[in-house]
Amino acid sequence: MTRTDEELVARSRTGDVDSFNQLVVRWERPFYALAYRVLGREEDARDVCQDTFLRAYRALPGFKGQAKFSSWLYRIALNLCRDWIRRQQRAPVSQMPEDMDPAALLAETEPAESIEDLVARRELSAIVAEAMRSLSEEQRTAIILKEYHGMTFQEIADMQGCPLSTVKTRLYQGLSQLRRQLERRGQGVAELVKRT
Amino acid sequence: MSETFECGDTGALVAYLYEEGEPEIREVIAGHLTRCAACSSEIDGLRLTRQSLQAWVPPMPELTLQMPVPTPARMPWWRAPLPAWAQAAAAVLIFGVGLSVGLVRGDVNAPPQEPRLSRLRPPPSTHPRVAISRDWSNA
Repeated sequence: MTRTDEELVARSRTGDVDSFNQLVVRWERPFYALAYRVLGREEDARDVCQDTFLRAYRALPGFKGQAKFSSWLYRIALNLCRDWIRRQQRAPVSQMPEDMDPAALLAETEPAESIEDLVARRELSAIVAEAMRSLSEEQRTAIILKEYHGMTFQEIADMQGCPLSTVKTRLYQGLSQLRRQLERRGQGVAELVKRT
Repeated sequence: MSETFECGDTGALVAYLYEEGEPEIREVIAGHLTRCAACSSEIDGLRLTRQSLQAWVPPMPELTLQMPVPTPARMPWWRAPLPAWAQAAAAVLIFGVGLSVGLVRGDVNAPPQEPRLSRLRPPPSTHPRVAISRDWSNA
Protein backbone atom coordinates (compact mmCIF):
# COMPACT_ATOMS: atom_id res chain seq x y z
CA MET A 1 0.00 0.00 0.00
CA THR A 2 1.35 3.40 -0.95
CA ARG A 3 1.17 5.91 1.86
CA THR A 4 0.65 9.59 1.26
CA ASP A 5 3.31 12.13 2.12
CA GLU A 6 1.23 13.26 5.07
CA GLU A 7 0.99 9.73 6.47
CA LEU A 8 4.71 9.18 6.07
CA VAL A 9 5.46 12.53 7.67
CA ALA A 10 3.24 11.67 10.65
CA ARG A 11 5.06 8.37 11.11
CA SER A 12 8.44 10.02 10.69
CA ARG A 13 7.55 12.48 13.42
CA THR A 14 7.24 9.57 15.84
CA GLY A 15 10.80 8.52 15.01
CA ASP A 16 10.06 6.03 12.21
CA VAL A 17 13.18 6.44 10.08
CA ASP A 18 11.94 3.95 7.47
CA SER A 19 8.95 6.17 6.73
CA PHE A 20 11.22 9.14 6.22
CA ASN A 21 13.43 7.10 3.93
CA GLN A 22 10.35 6.34 1.83
CA LEU A 23 9.84 10.08 1.47
CA VAL A 24 13.48 10.42 0.45
CA VAL A 25 13.10 7.75 -2.23
CA ARG A 26 9.95 9.46 -3.49
CA TRP A 27 11.42 12.94 -3.72
CA GLU A 28 15.16 12.60 -4.19
CA ARG A 29 15.11 12.67 -7.97
CA PRO A 30 13.03 15.85 -8.42
CA PHE A 31 15.12 17.61 -5.80
CA TYR A 32 18.38 16.42 -7.28
CA ALA A 33 17.20 17.69 -10.68
CA LEU A 34 16.19 21.01 -9.15
CA ALA A 35 19.55 21.44 -7.44
CA TYR A 36 21.42 20.36 -10.56
CA ARG A 37 19.63 22.87 -12.75
CA VAL A 38 20.12 25.69 -10.28
CA LEU A 39 23.72 24.88 -9.37
CA GLY A 40 24.95 23.14 -12.51
CA ARG A 41 27.25 20.59 -10.90
CA GLU A 42 26.48 16.99 -10.06
CA GLU A 43 28.48 16.86 -6.84
CA ASP A 44 26.99 20.11 -5.58
CA ALA A 45 23.50 18.98 -6.53
CA ARG A 46 23.96 15.70 -4.68
CA ASP A 47 25.28 17.49 -1.60
CA VAL A 48 22.42 20.00 -1.58
CA CYS A 49 19.90 17.24 -2.13
CA GLN A 50 21.30 15.24 0.78
CA ASP A 51 21.44 18.33 2.94
CA THR A 52 17.83 19.18 2.08
CA PHE A 53 16.58 15.87 3.43
CA LEU A 54 18.85 15.97 6.46
CA ARG A 55 17.60 19.41 7.40
CA ALA A 56 14.03 18.38 6.82
CA TYR A 57 14.52 15.33 9.02
CA ARG A 58 15.95 17.41 11.84
CA ALA A 59 13.24 20.03 11.49
CA LEU A 60 10.38 17.52 11.35
CA PRO A 61 9.26 18.20 14.94
CA GLY A 62 8.65 21.82 13.93
CA PHE A 63 6.76 20.93 10.74
CA LYS A 64 3.10 21.22 11.64
CA GLY A 65 1.71 20.42 8.21
CA GLN A 66 0.56 23.97 7.49
CA ALA A 67 2.06 23.57 3.99
CA LYS A 68 2.47 20.56 1.74
CA PHE A 69 5.53 18.51 2.62
CA SER A 70 6.91 18.98 -0.90
CA SER A 71 6.45 22.76 -0.70
CA TRP A 72 8.31 22.77 2.56
CA LEU A 73 11.11 20.72 0.98
CA TYR A 74 11.26 23.09 -2.01
CA ARG A 75 11.70 26.00 0.34
CA ILE A 76 14.55 24.26 2.17
CA ALA A 77 16.22 23.19 -1.08
CA LEU A 78 15.99 26.64 -2.67
CA ASN A 79 17.41 28.28 0.45
CA LEU A 80 20.29 25.83 0.40
CA CYS A 81 20.90 26.48 -3.31
CA ARG A 82 20.91 30.21 -2.67
CA ASP A 83 23.35 29.82 0.22
CA TRP A 84 25.49 27.53 -1.91
CA ILE A 85 25.69 30.02 -4.77
CA ARG A 86 26.56 32.86 -2.46
CA ARG A 87 29.16 30.78 -0.66
CA GLN A 88 30.81 29.37 -3.71
CA GLN A 89 30.76 32.64 -5.68
CA ARG A 90 31.03 30.84 -8.94
CA ALA A 91 29.15 30.46 -12.20
CA PRO A 92 25.96 28.52 -11.43
CA VAL A 93 25.69 26.38 -14.50
CA SER A 94 28.64 24.31 -15.54
CA GLN A 95 29.66 23.31 -19.00
CA MET A 96 28.30 20.07 -20.23
CA PRO A 97 31.12 17.65 -21.05
CA GLU A 98 32.17 18.14 -24.64
CA ASP A 99 33.38 14.67 -25.28
CA MET A 100 30.59 12.24 -25.95
CA ASP A 101 31.36 8.60 -25.46
CA PRO A 102 29.48 6.58 -28.10
CA ALA A 103 29.03 3.64 -25.72
CA ALA A 104 27.58 5.91 -23.05
CA LEU A 105 25.33 7.48 -25.65
CA LEU A 106 24.05 4.07 -26.70
CA ALA A 107 23.26 3.22 -23.09
CA GLU A 108 21.32 6.46 -22.77
CA THR A 109 19.31 6.01 -25.91
CA GLU A 110 15.62 5.75 -25.27
CA PRO A 111 13.58 3.24 -27.26
CA ALA A 112 12.74 4.51 -30.74
CA GLU A 113 15.42 7.19 -30.53
CA SER A 114 18.32 7.10 -32.97
CA ILE A 115 21.87 7.95 -32.03
CA GLU A 116 21.56 11.08 -34.16
CA ASP A 117 18.50 12.20 -32.25
CA LEU A 118 20.21 11.50 -28.95
CA VAL A 119 23.26 13.51 -30.01
CA ALA A 120 20.93 16.34 -31.04
CA ARG A 121 19.20 16.18 -27.68
CA ARG A 122 22.49 16.23 -25.81
CA GLU A 123 23.72 19.11 -27.94
CA LEU A 124 20.59 21.14 -27.36
CA SER A 125 20.73 20.31 -23.67
CA ALA A 126 24.26 21.74 -23.52
CA ILE A 127 23.17 24.86 -25.38
CA VAL A 128 20.23 25.41 -23.04
CA ALA A 129 22.43 24.85 -19.99
CA GLU A 130 24.87 27.41 -21.35
CA ALA A 131 22.08 29.90 -22.05
CA MET A 132 20.57 29.41 -18.59
CA ARG A 133 23.89 30.38 -17.10
CA SER A 134 23.45 33.88 -18.46
CA LEU A 135 20.27 34.47 -16.43
CA SER A 136 20.11 35.96 -12.98
CA GLU A 137 19.58 33.52 -10.13
CA GLU A 138 15.99 34.73 -9.66
CA GLN A 139 15.09 34.41 -13.34
CA ARG A 140 16.69 31.00 -13.61
CA THR A 141 14.94 29.69 -10.50
CA ALA A 142 11.56 31.01 -11.64
CA ILE A 143 11.95 29.31 -15.03
CA ILE A 144 13.11 26.05 -13.45
CA LEU A 145 10.20 25.97 -11.02
CA LYS A 146 7.74 26.73 -13.81
CA GLU A 147 9.10 24.56 -16.60
CA TYR A 148 10.38 21.51 -14.74
CA HIS A 149 8.32 21.46 -11.55
CA GLY A 150 5.00 22.72 -12.89
CA MET A 151 4.43 25.33 -10.22
CA THR A 152 1.83 28.05 -10.60
CA PHE A 153 2.80 31.72 -10.60
CA GLN A 154 1.45 32.00 -7.07
CA GLU A 155 3.47 29.03 -5.82
CA ILE A 156 6.65 30.49 -7.32
CA ALA A 157 5.84 33.84 -5.73
CA ASP A 158 5.50 32.10 -2.36
CA MET A 159 8.79 30.26 -2.87
CA GLN A 160 10.67 33.34 -3.96
CA GLY A 161 8.96 35.66 -1.50
CA CYS A 162 7.97 38.22 -4.11
CA PRO A 163 4.75 39.55 -5.70
CA LEU A 164 3.05 37.60 -8.44
CA SER A 165 3.75 40.36 -10.95
CA THR A 166 7.48 40.02 -10.21
CA VAL A 167 7.33 36.32 -11.02
CA LYS A 168 5.72 37.08 -14.40
CA THR A 169 8.38 39.69 -15.11
CA ARG A 170 11.17 37.29 -14.19
CA LEU A 171 9.69 34.60 -16.42
CA TYR A 172 9.19 36.94 -19.34
CA GLN A 173 12.61 38.54 -19.11
CA GLY A 174 14.31 35.20 -18.55
CA LEU A 175 12.58 33.54 -21.48
CA SER A 176 13.28 36.54 -23.72
CA GLN A 177 16.96 36.44 -22.84
CA LEU A 178 17.10 32.70 -23.46
CA ARG A 179 15.37 33.24 -26.77
CA ARG A 180 17.98 35.79 -27.82
CA GLN A 181 20.78 33.46 -26.74
CA LEU A 182 19.31 30.58 -28.74
CA GLU A 183 18.62 32.74 -31.77
CA ARG A 184 22.24 33.80 -31.77
CA ARG A 185 23.04 30.17 -32.45
CA GLY A 186 21.06 30.51 -35.64
CA GLN A 187 19.10 27.92 -37.51
CA GLY A 188 20.93 25.08 -35.80
CA VAL A 189 18.92 25.40 -32.63
CA ALA A 190 15.62 25.37 -34.50
CA GLU A 191 16.74 22.18 -36.25
CA LEU A 192 17.74 20.63 -32.96
CA VAL A 193 14.40 21.53 -31.39
CA LYS A 194 12.61 19.88 -34.31
CA ARG A 195 14.62 16.69 -33.79
CA THR A 196 13.94 16.48 -30.07
CA MET B 1 -17.20 43.00 -18.26
CA SER B 2 -15.01 43.74 -21.23
CA GLU B 3 -11.35 42.70 -20.95
CA THR B 4 -8.73 44.46 -22.99
CA PHE B 5 -5.17 43.71 -23.95
CA GLU B 6 -2.54 46.07 -25.19
CA CYS B 7 0.74 45.28 -26.87
CA GLY B 8 3.54 45.33 -24.33
CA ASP B 9 1.54 43.84 -21.47
CA THR B 10 4.17 41.19 -20.85
CA GLY B 11 2.52 39.92 -17.67
CA ALA B 12 -0.65 39.06 -19.53
CA LEU B 13 1.38 37.56 -22.37
CA VAL B 14 3.28 35.28 -19.98
CA ALA B 15 0.01 34.25 -18.33
CA TYR B 16 -1.33 33.39 -21.79
CA LEU B 17 1.84 31.47 -22.65
CA TYR B 18 1.51 29.31 -19.55
CA GLU B 19 -2.27 29.07 -19.78
CA GLU B 20 -2.81 30.72 -16.43
CA GLY B 21 -5.13 33.57 -15.64
CA GLU B 22 -8.73 34.37 -16.42
CA PRO B 23 -10.27 32.60 -19.42
CA GLU B 24 -11.85 35.88 -20.57
CA ILE B 25 -8.54 37.71 -20.90
CA ARG B 26 -6.98 34.69 -22.59
CA GLU B 27 -9.71 34.81 -25.21
CA VAL B 28 -9.06 38.50 -25.71
CA ILE B 29 -5.31 37.84 -26.15
CA ALA B 30 -5.98 34.99 -28.56
CA GLY B 31 -8.09 37.37 -30.65
CA HIS B 32 -5.36 40.01 -30.47
CA LEU B 33 -2.72 37.56 -31.67
CA THR B 34 -4.66 36.93 -34.86
CA ARG B 35 -4.44 40.62 -35.69
CA CYS B 36 -1.03 41.64 -34.26
CA ALA B 37 1.99 40.17 -36.04
CA ALA B 38 4.45 41.50 -33.46
CA CYS B 39 2.72 39.87 -30.48
CA SER B 40 2.11 36.71 -32.48
CA SER B 41 5.80 36.48 -33.32
CA GLU B 42 6.67 37.13 -29.70
CA ILE B 43 4.49 34.27 -28.49
CA ASP B 44 5.87 31.90 -31.15
CA GLY B 45 9.42 32.75 -30.12
CA LEU B 46 8.68 32.16 -26.46
CA ARG B 47 6.97 28.87 -27.25
CA LEU B 48 10.01 27.68 -29.20
CA THR B 49 12.20 28.69 -26.29
CA ARG B 50 10.04 26.69 -23.91
CA GLN B 51 10.24 23.73 -26.26
CA SER B 52 14.01 23.87 -26.31
CA LEU B 53 14.07 24.00 -22.50
CA GLN B 54 12.56 20.51 -22.45
CA ALA B 55 15.79 19.16 -23.93
CA TRP B 56 17.71 20.11 -20.79
CA VAL B 57 17.78 16.88 -18.87
CA PRO B 58 20.18 16.62 -15.95
CA PRO B 59 22.36 13.54 -15.66
CA MET B 60 20.64 11.34 -13.12
CA PRO B 61 23.08 9.34 -11.03
CA GLU B 62 21.98 6.50 -8.81
CA LEU B 63 20.76 8.26 -5.72
CA THR B 64 20.58 6.23 -2.58
CA LEU B 65 20.23 8.92 0.00
CA GLN B 66 19.46 7.37 3.36
CA MET B 67 18.85 9.06 6.62
CA PRO B 68 21.24 7.87 9.27
CA VAL B 69 19.43 6.10 12.06
CA PRO B 70 19.89 8.33 15.09
CA THR B 71 21.89 6.58 17.78
CA PRO B 72 21.49 7.79 21.35
CA ALA B 73 24.60 9.30 22.82
CA ARG B 74 26.48 6.88 25.08
CA MET B 75 26.22 7.78 28.74
CA PRO B 76 28.80 6.86 31.37
CA TRP B 77 27.78 3.72 33.23
CA TRP B 78 27.08 5.55 36.46
CA ARG B 79 24.58 7.83 34.68
CA ALA B 80 22.91 5.15 32.64
CA PRO B 81 19.46 4.13 33.92
CA LEU B 82 19.41 0.86 35.90
CA PRO B 83 17.68 -2.13 34.38
CA ALA B 84 14.27 -3.01 35.82
CA TRP B 85 15.52 -6.00 37.81
CA ALA B 86 18.20 -3.87 39.44
CA GLN B 87 15.67 -1.19 40.31
CA ALA B 88 13.39 -3.85 41.88
CA ALA B 89 16.31 -5.33 43.84
CA ALA B 90 17.29 -1.89 45.09
CA ALA B 91 13.73 -1.23 46.21
CA VAL B 92 13.58 -4.53 48.12
CA LEU B 93 16.93 -3.83 49.73
CA ILE B 94 15.94 -0.37 50.86
CA PHE B 95 12.65 -1.69 52.23
CA GLY B 96 14.46 -4.47 54.10
CA VAL B 97 16.97 -2.12 55.67
CA GLY B 98 14.20 0.21 56.75
CA LEU B 99 12.23 -2.64 58.27
CA SER B 100 15.29 -3.92 60.15
CA VAL B 101 16.02 -0.54 61.63
CA GLY B 102 12.42 -0.27 62.72
CA LEU B 103 12.47 -3.63 64.46
CA VAL B 104 15.74 -2.92 66.25
CA ARG B 105 14.42 0.33 67.65
CA GLY B 106 11.48 -1.39 69.23
CA ASP B 107 7.79 -1.60 69.12
CA VAL B 108 6.52 1.39 67.42
CA ASN B 109 3.07 0.92 69.00
CA ALA B 110 4.36 1.11 72.57
CA PRO B 111 3.30 4.16 74.60
CA PRO B 112 5.89 6.84 74.74
CA GLN B 113 8.43 6.42 77.47
CA GLU B 114 8.95 8.92 80.20
CA PRO B 115 11.49 11.51 79.60
CA ARG B 116 14.99 10.38 80.16
CA LEU B 117 15.39 12.75 83.13
CA SER B 118 13.19 10.51 85.27
CA ARG B 119 15.79 7.79 84.96
CA LEU B 120 18.26 10.01 86.74
CA ARG B 121 16.37 9.78 89.97
CA PRO B 122 18.10 7.51 92.40
CA PRO B 123 16.54 4.11 92.56
CA PRO B 124 14.49 3.40 95.62
CA SER B 125 16.56 1.93 98.42
CA THR B 126 16.48 -1.78 98.78
CA HIS B 127 17.27 -1.67 102.50
CA PRO B 128 14.34 -1.85 104.90
CA ARG B 129 13.51 1.33 106.49
CA VAL B 130 14.60 1.20 110.11
CA ALA B 131 12.95 3.39 112.51
CA ILE B 132 15.65 4.84 114.61
CA SER B 133 14.57 6.02 117.85
CA ARG B 134 17.18 7.16 120.27
CA ASP B 135 16.49 6.96 123.85
CA TRP B 136 18.09 10.04 125.23
CA SER B 137 16.98 9.29 128.76
CA ASN B 138 20.02 7.04 129.43
CA ALA B 139 22.48 9.50 128.21
